[in-house]
Amino acid sequence: MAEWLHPGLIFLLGALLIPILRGKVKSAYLISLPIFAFIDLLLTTKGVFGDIPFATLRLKFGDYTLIFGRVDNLSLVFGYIFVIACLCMIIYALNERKDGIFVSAFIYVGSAIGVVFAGDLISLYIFWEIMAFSSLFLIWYRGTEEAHKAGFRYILWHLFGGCVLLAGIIMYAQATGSIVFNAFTWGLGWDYLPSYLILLGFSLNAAVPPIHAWLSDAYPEATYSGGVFLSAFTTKTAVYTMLRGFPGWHILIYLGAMMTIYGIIYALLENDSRRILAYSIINQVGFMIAGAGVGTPLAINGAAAHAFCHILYKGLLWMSAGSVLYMTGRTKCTDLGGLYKTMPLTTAFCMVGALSISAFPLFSGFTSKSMTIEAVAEAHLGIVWLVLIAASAGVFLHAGIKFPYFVFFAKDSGIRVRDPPLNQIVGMGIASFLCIFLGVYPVPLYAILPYHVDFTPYTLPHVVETLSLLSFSGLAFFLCLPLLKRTQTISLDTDWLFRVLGMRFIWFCERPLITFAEIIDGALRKIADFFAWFANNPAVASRMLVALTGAIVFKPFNPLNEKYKRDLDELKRVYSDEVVHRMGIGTGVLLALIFFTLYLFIYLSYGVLWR
Amino acid sequence: MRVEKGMLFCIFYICLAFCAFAEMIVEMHYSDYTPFWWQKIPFFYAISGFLSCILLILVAKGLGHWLKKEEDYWKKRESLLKREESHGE
Repeated sequence: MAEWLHPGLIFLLGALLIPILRGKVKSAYLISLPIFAFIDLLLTTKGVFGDIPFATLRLKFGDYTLIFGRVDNLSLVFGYIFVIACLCMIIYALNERKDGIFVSAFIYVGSAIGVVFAGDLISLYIFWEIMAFSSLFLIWYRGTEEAHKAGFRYILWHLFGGCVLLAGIIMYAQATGSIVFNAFTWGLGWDYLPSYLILLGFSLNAAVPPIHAWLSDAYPEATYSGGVFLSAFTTKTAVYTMLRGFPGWHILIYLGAMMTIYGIIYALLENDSRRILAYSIINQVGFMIAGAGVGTPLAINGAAAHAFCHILYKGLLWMSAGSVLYMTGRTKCTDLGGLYKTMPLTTAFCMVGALSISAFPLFSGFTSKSMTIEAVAEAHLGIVWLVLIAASAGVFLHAGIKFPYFVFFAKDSGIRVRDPPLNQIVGMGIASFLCIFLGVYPVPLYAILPYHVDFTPYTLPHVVETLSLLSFSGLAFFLCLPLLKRTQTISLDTDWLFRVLGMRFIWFCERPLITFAEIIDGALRKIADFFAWFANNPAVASRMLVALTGAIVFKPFNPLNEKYKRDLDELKRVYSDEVVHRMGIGTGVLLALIFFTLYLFIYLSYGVLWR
Repeated sequence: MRVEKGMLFCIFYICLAFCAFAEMIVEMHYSDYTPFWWQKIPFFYAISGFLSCILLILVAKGLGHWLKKEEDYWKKRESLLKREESHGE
């Protein structure tokens, strides 16, 4: 039985070779890496490497053991979709000129797979941080000033999340003595603080409001293909960690429900097409988090299936937006419109993505998202169920209609560009095919879900209800179209507070604080200058000081004091080249002699007189 | 073009009517596992889809009055800060 090859390693090590290769060889190599990883995963499932979870791939770390190969149904679902998505995305991204983008993307994917297969909290943390830094470059490579600044804000958010996560992990290891990553038990009280901190760290990556603003801020500023990669991995690894670590934590149900509505509201306000998609991610992840919160097998199946399908259709939507950016150089809805005439393929793929995300029958969302909603119904959470139904209608509103309508249809912007290059078409085509395939025949997906699936999506009531819900949502959209006019605006999000506070803090450091520092500095310098002046000529200086104090003390009695005059004379003399009173060189020699004698005495008497 | 658009809307309205009708029939004949009492209201999904969308759009419009700012909002703030600094020096 061979040693298990970690699929993440294929990407992480494979990334190193990219800069050496050129041209067609490089393209072939880039496409081959996800294919190798996929074959690796297939062999893993077939048991070629032994019975999973693996006993190999452990590393000693002090008193703890790092487990890199915790493979079970939950990790495999995410492992598979990450690799499949990476294949579509890398084919799509082949037009990128800078090698660094490919290297960053592969390190990003590799570390995401690393997180998914990590069996302990410390290796999870290591891969978590690698993900944050590699994804940062996908934003920075865009090169615009906006991308530069957004990238900095992005990494600051993630460093904060990483620190909180690490704090939680360390406290957890201290408290329980183990770093194995399994479900945390729910409880209220200080004892559970480590799990709260870890939950907070995971929530940041899952973009739970109010710590979600990095997503809508930075993702739209990424490169045309960078955005595609970003849309899939950070948030879905967070969903995985929620499913693994916090299943059944009821707070997640309410957070998830809130997230779904939050994303829709902001998506309806937005003008930038990629920012609409970013808020759409928050909306969709809300469903998954709510599923994690419910914690029943159906709910976890639903969340995992939803994550699987979501990566594909959200990637597809980001790909269509990225192609529009690539061909037209624009992303704002106010600058776009009427593109369906010259970009028919991109429009078609976008519609596939839009229908999938809306959970239209025959598309992948229908067979996956419905499981989560069904699980919420089974748990008798009435209000949450209503919120999720409203959110399902809202998804059709902002992602199913608003996004394609304003980008590809609506008022003609006059742009006449053709469909993007072939590789982008192929990438989008594969993703579309999978979206439709999983919508029509979800059996392969259901087979790899963590628990046995007892759910039939295609029942007549379900189909009719969904069609009804969606078509009347569409009616609402077209009736309210005057209210949804495109405006050249941005929307302020929760990061407003941090950005304003940050600016105020910098202003405080650069003005009041520096002024204060300069005052202290000046005062200390005056003291140092005094000592320097004093040491220049101590004899005269001390005499002067005495005279000065005398003058001050006796001033009331005798205004015109002799001492004062003598003082001034000596002052003049000290500051001329001739120094009046000087101690002879002999004094210095004598002092040195005394010092050395004393030292000799101590050295000789040590051990005899004292120890 | 205009003829096409009008035709599209016609088809759309027909689909809407069909969906509503189908939903009514389905609700009558399939007393499925419905954990919630409101699922038995006729046209429930149609109404909920319509109403929730209207509500979402109105809430978004309302919040937009506070949240929507001009595109150069942050640029202006940052340059304001820089101007404050240079005045101080």
